[in-house]
Amino acid sequence: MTTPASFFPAWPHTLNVLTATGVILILGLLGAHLLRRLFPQVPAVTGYVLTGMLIGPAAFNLINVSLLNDIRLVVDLSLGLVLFELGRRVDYKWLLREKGLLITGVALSSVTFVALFALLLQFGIDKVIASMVAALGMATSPAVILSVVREVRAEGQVSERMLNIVVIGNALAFVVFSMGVAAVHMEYQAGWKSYVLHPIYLLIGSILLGALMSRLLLWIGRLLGRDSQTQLILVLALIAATVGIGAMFNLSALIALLTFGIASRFRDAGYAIVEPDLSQFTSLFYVALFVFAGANLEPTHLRTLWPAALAFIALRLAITVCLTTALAHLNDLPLRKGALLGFGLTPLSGFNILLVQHAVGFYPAFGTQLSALVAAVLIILQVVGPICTRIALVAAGEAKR
Amino acid sequence: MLEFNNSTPLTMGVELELQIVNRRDYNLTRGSDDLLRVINKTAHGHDVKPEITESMIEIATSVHTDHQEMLTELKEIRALLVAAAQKLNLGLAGGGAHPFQHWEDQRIYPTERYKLVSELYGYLAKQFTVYGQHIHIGCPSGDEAIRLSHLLARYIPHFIALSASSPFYQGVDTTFHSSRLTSINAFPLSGTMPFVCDWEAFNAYFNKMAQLKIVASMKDFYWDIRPKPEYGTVEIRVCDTPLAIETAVALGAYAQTLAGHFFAERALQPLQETYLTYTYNRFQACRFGLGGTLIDAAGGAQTTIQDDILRTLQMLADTAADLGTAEALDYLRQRATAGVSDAGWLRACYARSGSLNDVVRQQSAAWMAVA
Repeated sequence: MTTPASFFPAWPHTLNVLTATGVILILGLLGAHLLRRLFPQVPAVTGYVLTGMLIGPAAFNLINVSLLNDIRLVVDLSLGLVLFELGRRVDYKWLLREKGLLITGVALSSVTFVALFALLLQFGIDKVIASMVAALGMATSPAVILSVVREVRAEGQVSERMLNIVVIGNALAFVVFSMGVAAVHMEYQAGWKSYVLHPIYLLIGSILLGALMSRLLLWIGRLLGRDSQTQLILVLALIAATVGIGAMFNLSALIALLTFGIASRFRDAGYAIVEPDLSQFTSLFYVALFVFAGANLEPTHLRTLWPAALAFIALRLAITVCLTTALAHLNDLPLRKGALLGFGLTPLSGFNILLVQHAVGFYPAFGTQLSALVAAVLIILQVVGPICTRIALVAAGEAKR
Repeated sequence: MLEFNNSTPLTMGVELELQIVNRRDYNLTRGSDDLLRVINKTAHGHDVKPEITESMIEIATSVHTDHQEMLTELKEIRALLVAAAQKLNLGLAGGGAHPFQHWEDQRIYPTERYKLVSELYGYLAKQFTVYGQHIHIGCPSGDEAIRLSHLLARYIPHFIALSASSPFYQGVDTTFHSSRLTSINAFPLSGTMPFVCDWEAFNAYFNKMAQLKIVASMKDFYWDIRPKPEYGTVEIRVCDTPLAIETAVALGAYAQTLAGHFFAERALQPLQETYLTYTYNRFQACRFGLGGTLIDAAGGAQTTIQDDILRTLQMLADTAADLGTAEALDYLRQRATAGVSDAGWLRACYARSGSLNDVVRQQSAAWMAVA
């Protein structure tokens, strides 16, 4: 039956993906702008996160849970860009040469893990959950650090060392977290194949994927020549493919993209790839990423879990600052800058939510417990963390005056 | 009255301003503070200083009579700097200008003087992120310093062409061999010393300028050649920082030999006409390097700078033998004869790779001698 009126669509109940993406970007920009007006020193990232919290399921529910799932694609791609960029920033030859930095990164991760694990046991949290949350505590947010470094145009030893420590922390966190996943498999009696092969598959598979992509980039890059526009498209295409293939084969996009970034740099002896300037794109994706991260935050858990969350944050901060201060001379930094380096590492990786959701995928009951605690910690650190990083970089004199 | 601290004639020293770059895309990066911190952890006795922007560092040799000793010292300083740079993952490079930095990205080094300079000159101060070599030659008196400054003026195109290493600037090929000197032209007190004939006349000029409140010290003159009364030297400031310290030392030895020739040939007197062709010759050297035209104001003859250099080196043969600089001059002769220059080397790098980032990578590898 056709009436003229049927040409008009039914009034939509929810936004579709593209509209939601548009809304997220615009409101994110407006939110950050408004916050800037009130507090000029607050990084844009914090503004995006707060906006996300407001429009997300926790408050106005403009972006509801199913929409959040729908726009995961955009978010995964954004994270891919961030991780690739971070990988490009890491000079593994420097890490091998400059042992002090490597030691700092590894020491920071291990001490943080052990201390957080012990703390969480004190709060009567299950061993396996405790180990996984402690593992997540090792990982400083790559996206926050990169975006704040970008925003204040920080250059210098504190910034460079911070970025390298972030990579070490995230890589180690991933390894320990996968071991935790193995332990969960065990607890749920999934059979030896799951708990032995799964972590190995994740790690080796992801590294291989990243290495393969870096080869492709250099190979096609040499073929196409040095036109920067062409190379930019090539880089974006391969990042998208890496994220996609990672998802198809249940691999870790984090490890794959970090490997991709690192390998594409050090394998490139002839400098075939001109440093791709992704900034035009990343700034767009940062907005999407952090509004999404904000919308994903669930303040409800804070009501019950705030003592554990606060203790977690305080202990993590104390360990980081103490260690980087103690190891300042190993990094050729004055004590003050050593402390600032640690303070700047406060932001917790929002990636954690994705890792946790991954774990939830296998065993929903278990994952819920885990994600509650992580959510409680994240909600505080997502807002406060970027501010700490900014303060640290400015105080270290590395932000552009 | 400015006091000229007489020094031993024909002693020399050089200052080199160096580029600090990152190892990621080889852009300039702020690093002088971090570098100085690492270097100054141990007592090294060398002169390493910050410069006007944070991506510059300046090294200076002590006073030498033998250029070989100067090279040895520079190698020590280089080893010191390279070790620190490796630790901090920074690159160091010669070259008169960074090929693709953007001047507005540069950060003024936070000292009182640089802040004042920056406030006065505005964007010129940031555009001043260029890298030069300064050569000091010791003079027995202020009068000798004035005489030497004027006599050297005719040979300034040689120093420009032999050191030119800034063909790229702000991401483009400027078509010049040395684009650096052009950015110095913009300063109101750049150019040349007025044609005064002795130290007393120079002082009269300086006092007048000081009374007019245009200058407060000799530092305010950005001249190509200027007497430096504190050191008792004449300072040649037109050279780009060469890509290798060996070239820098050879240029020092060339200036020393020229000065030796002038000190010995008492009949030679400064000519005001030199300055008629000065800026034109200077432009030719910046634009075309060794291939530029040099007009001799006294005789009116036109030659290429390359030929004029070769003829001058010939003329200096005896003095060079006396001073022990023959070998350094031979190095310059070979380069001049073959038409080899740092600017040409940089252009060849770019032609091969098509990437200015890669040009800086190679330029940095060359200076750090790790290629």
